[in-house]
Amino acid sequence: MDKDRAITLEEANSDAFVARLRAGDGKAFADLLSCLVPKLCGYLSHDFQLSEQDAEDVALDAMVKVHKSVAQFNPRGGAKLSTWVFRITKNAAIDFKRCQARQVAKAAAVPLDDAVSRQVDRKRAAEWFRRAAAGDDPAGHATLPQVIRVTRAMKALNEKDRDILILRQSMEYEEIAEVEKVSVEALRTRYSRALDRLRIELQKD
Amino acid sequence: MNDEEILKLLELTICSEHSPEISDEVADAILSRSEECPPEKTARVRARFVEKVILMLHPLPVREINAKWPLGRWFEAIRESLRLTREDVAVAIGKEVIFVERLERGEVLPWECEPNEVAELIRLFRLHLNAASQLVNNSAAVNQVRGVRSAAARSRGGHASSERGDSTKRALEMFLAHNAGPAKPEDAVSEWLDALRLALRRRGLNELVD
Repeated sequence: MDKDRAITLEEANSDAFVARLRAGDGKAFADLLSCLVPKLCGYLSHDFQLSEQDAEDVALDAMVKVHKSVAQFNPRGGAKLSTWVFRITKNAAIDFKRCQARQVAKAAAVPLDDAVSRQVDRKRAAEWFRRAAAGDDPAGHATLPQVIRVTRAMKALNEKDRDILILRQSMEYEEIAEVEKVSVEALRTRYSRALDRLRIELQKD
Repeated sequence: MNDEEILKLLELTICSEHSPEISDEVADAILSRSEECPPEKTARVRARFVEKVILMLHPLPVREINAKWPLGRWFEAIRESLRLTREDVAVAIGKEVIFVERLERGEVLPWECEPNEVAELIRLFRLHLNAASQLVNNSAAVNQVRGVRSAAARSRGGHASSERGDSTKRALEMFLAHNAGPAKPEDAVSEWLDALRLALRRRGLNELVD
């Protein structure tokens, strides 16, 4: 293998590579970093609307967790290595957003002078107030019962429907079509049907 | 619930801890998007990762060292305990791997290096100057008892290897240095430590000096 070439996802998920990681091979971990961090940053910027800097921070924090526990990763446990890393990153992003929302809420509660002196982003605080006033609580409390309802409805769907609903949040039809090697039209139909079935499940609830 | 509300809730749900578990297919599709990553970004990401891993181990500067290890051996032990490579460390301090390797193996002594170079390692490993001075003095003690011959050693399996000989030699040197008692600090070493202090101050690393 070319020494400077980043490894592919397929190589990262191979049994031999996972065994090297689990054995503490530092070179293998460096390869995993080069392969996944740019992709994870792209996902975090797109789906969680994080700045480039924040996305890199969250992705690296997730990779530190991966580094700490990769020896315990069980390749026979179900998910692929990349999916396991992806889930850890997603959870790290959720924690980051929650923490950010708390900070904004806290900053919005302090007097103006203090806020300025603490270099608080007042635009974000104003946005938080606007959304809170509109009943769209950024910390997620107001919408929590509805979110749980949607989760329940999604769990009642089959995996294919669930996957397309999740994928569509992250990717354009054209991108999914390229990866899944299907036509854009077929994807539109699949998405529309999945959405119909979600609607039915929500009505049942 | 109208369509707009469903889509909004779907978005909130998927980005929340209540989201259904991501399948291999979804993760593969999202991760298969190619992202541009210039080599300088790859190096920066790796350097920041190494810093984060070490910061997790040493959230506060290391002020006391119980081991009688030379400076290079201490760096090596911490690096190995964190499953980092010499290359990881070299990338994080912007130096060549050979620099890290020679310092770790005692082939070059700390005070033979530029204080700025060692200051970068001290910054990375979050080593307080007091502890660093102690380790440098250990390096001096080991240097005083160092022999010129190589050691030969074999494992229980009977295979001799230069690696095993090297580690045996280093262990013997540390043992002899330990028994020889504290080394007399040489002027050159003291001067070098002063220069190291300045290098750390210039970097604004006061927490590693005060």
